[in-house]
Amino acid sequence: MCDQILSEDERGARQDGPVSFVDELVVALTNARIYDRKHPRLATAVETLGQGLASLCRETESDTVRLGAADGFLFFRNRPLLGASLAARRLTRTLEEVEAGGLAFQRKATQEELFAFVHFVARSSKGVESPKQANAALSQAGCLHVEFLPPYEEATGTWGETSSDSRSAEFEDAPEASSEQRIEMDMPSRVYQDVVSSLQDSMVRSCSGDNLDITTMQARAESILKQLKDDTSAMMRLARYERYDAFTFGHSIRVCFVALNFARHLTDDTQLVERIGLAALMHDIGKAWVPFEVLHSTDRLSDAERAEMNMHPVHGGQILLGNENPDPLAVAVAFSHHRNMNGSGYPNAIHPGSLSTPTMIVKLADVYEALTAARPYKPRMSPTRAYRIMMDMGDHFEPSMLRRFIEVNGFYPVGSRVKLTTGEVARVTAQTDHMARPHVVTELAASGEQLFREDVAALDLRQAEAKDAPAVADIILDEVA
Amino acid sequence: MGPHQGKPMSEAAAYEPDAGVAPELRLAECWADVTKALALYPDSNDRVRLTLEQMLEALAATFTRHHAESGVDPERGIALLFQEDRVIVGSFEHAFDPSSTLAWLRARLDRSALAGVELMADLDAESFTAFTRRLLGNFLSKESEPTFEALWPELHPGVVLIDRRFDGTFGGLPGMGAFAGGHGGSAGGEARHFITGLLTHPKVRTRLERLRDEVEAADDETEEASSLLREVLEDVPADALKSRNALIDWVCGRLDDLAGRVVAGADAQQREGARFAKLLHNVSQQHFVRQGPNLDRIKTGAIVESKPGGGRARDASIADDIESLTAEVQRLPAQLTMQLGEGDEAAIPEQIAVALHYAIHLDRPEDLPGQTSLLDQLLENPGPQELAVLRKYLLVDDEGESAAIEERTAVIRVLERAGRTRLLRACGALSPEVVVDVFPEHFGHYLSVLDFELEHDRAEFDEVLRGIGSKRLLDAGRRILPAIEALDRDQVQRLLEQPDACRLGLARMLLHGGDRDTMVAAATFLQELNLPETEAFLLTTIRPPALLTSEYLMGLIDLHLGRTSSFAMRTPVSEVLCRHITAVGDADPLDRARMESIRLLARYPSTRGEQMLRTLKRFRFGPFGGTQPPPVRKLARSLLKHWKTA
Repeated sequence: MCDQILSEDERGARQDGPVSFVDELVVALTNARIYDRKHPRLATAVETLGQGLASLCRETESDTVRLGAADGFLFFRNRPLLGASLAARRLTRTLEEVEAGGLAFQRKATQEELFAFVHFVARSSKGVESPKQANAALSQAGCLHVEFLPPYEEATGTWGETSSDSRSAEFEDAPEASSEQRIEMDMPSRVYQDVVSSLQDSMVRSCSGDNLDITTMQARAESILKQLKDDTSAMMRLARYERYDAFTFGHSIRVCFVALNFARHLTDDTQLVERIGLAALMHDIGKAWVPFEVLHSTDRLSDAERAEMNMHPVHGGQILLGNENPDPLAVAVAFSHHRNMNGSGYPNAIHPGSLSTPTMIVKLADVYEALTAARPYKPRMSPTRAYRIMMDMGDHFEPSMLRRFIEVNGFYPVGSRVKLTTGEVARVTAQTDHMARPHVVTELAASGEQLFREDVAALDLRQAEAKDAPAVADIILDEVA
Repeated sequence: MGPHQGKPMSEAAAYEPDAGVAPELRLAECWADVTKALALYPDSNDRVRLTLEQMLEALAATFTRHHAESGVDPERGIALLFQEDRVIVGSFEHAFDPSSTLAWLRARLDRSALAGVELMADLDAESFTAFTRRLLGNFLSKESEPTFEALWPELHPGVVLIDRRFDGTFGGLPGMGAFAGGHGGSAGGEARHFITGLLTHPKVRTRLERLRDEVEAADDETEEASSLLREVLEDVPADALKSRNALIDWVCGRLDDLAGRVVAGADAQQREGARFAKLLHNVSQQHFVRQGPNLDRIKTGAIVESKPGGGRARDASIADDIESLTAEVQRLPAQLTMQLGEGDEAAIPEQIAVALHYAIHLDRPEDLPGQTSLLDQLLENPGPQELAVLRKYLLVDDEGESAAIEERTAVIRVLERAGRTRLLRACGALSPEVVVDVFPEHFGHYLSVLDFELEHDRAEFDEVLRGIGSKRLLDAGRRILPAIEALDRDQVQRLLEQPDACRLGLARMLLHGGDRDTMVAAATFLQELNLPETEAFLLTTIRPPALLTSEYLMGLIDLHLGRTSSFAMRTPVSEVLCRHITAVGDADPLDRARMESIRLLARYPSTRGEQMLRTLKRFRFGPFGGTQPPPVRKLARSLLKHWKTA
């Protein structure tokens, strides 16, 4: 599954339209959970969703957009929307609960109808047990042009009986017809999807003033650690999918991955590592209280906005302390991850003390992730360049920890794709004692062709000093894990 | 902090000028350092700033020297040129090592089609930074056929660009007079740009590379190949220079032809090989950023062995960066100074400090349910590190100023909520000196953490009371009363068990507050001090609140009855009781107190006096009597009758 997610681009099957549409749907649904009907943010999200729908209809020259659902994934025209599905757990779960096979959005769905739909999924779908009931509820709410589809019937190649002609399905909209071809969501993907869902839930709870579900978050951190131990490369590669907004949490998850991976190299204490994972997941929870306009501003922040933004560590600690029995480690990390070793940074502590090791771990992961991730306002940066900048940040970090972090993460992090001096493309599978010479597995021949299974080779690039032995020529930036 | 000793890590490795180095070389090296710094760090970085300053200083020094010693036109700048492995600054020439930063810079200049620059006296840091950013951007650009205009779209004040030109064999290409001329101009002619494009064109590069490999592998005659290559590079027809595609096609055709002939066989490497190899070396150095054939071995007729594989073209630059980064990383301390888990001494203190931050900064920290449990958990078994954090918030900060009272109070409150006030003593926040000093602030907390079962605590408390003094204690009255009232009964009893004059003030206060037992204990304490104070003193000077009086009296009666059966009430007491009985008021407790007082009088005949009799009679018959409740009047009559009978 991970390969399939990562190979979307390579196959040239990038589906920006439907992917964006699902992303907008996720944003609208999350907003609907936080805000009441009249809130302008929800109105904006629904308006954007409507624009996305119109755009997708135009792009596909169709009057209806159908999203299939199966095995935790959303489908569009027979193709799974792998990356986008990772952030859409709540939607897929609702579809499962309603026993629906998908959703049909008609081009003529008005904003009011879309609003009624997101409101239904976000707040009122409990107890609804069939697509028929769900559609009845939607109709009652005035939503006539969005419909829950019945389960897909492989035998007939249709979505089953629908209530109107406009809702009849076409074969190409359905999930993979053959059960043999059906993809199953693998464990790393499931873990990732659950983590996103839990973070969305935490965000909603924070905004609503409700208690966080710390127990579930702890369980998520445990799952991530287990998956990292089982297959670091698969987990790190999953973290590539990102849409940088408040509700997909790519940053927090990647920070969690990197921090967990680093921490487990420093100690055998699994429980402590899991606590660090939880802290990393929650380190930016305070952003739930930062005004949306400030958080997502694409302009340079004013002093007042900057001050507002810089409050997120304080908010984070406060949100966590608002719960019974919070993990003090997570509270400290949320509060201190923007404080520096030399006492600079924010927030100002009355009596600044030393940063603890867990805080330093998450801080390193946070800065590293921010530098190497693509953002709307900046391109992705190579790990090596990120390291240079981090080294130049002087005593923001504890130097020996920074060195260890770089050694553990390597110049070519696990899960990244690299081009070898032989011209082949390989995947980094593990670090070695040499930062620039990891273990890799070849994937593409020098010609760019996918290697046959029997030609795939696991290489230890520490041998690169030998004459003509392959070495890393370059990292493929779009695929830095 | 290891070897960096608090400096930014990169700064530790910053360029340090050597006084013995020629200013020209220093200028060149500073240039390379600036470029390297900008390749690694943002413009605002200290290292960038430092190296820029050093470069401008070196430039000024070079100007001074050139103008003073050579009489160079002051309007002209200082030209820095790279030729092969040499950097040339005026008449100064320096051969640099291939692994040096100068070689690194040269590689970047080559990619930007520059042989060097001429730096003017008015050069400033901003302009040079912009120039360098462009230079570095060109190096990373994936543009396969950059024109000179594309490489250098804007002017950089104070920097005159010198196009790359061919050395030696390449220097005198026909039809390229402007190009072959001086290197003072910043804009080359059309021909120069064609040549630049030609030599960076992938088709041409591929062929040159193939040719080069063939020559290296061949051990036969190469005279023809050498000749043809010269022809390719020297005999470009003028017409071809007017059309880019025509030029590229023409050159490619010639190179293919040349390659074919080389493969077919040539043998005069010993005769012409050195010249040809030199030529190829130049091409390799200037356009492929890598070593050309080994000239020494060529000269002796040896065969060049190395044959780089595909994809190596960028290796040199990457390896250069990776190696330098590896070196930088390895300069960081290897021994971890931070531990994870039990060895992490900063963890718990950090967590406590964060919790206390919220205790101080939030208006209603008690609204954070997690805070109390968190502190309760963190302070269960505090060690020196944890106590040190508390001390910071409760005692003295780094500047030696006392922590603000509000701050301290907030911290104490949260510790109270967490049930950890005992730590206030453990961390020294409630030492006797502090308590006396800030009295009445925190006196209540101090009382709450004492254990009067312990001789040590009792002694310390006496010391504190002496330090405060009775007057301050009584003056503080109402402020400390709640704390005194909140004292555990056993604690009070323990405190008042042994009479000690230093606790006199406290005992007097206990008469005001507390329950009946406390008041009685305080009264007893005062009696046992053997001071000239009597029960009358207690009743008249302390003046317990009316509503508590009956409790007090009953307690006093219980006490007396319990302690001695032959106790004789003294006259003054009876007078006080008398006054009390006649006190104005009709509250139920007061009535009960009156009745108890009358019973007390009845119990102890010695209390019978003229005044008492008058009083009781007034009770019975006088104006007072009419206002008294029937039970009181009845009791008064009964007592009078009893006394009459007796």
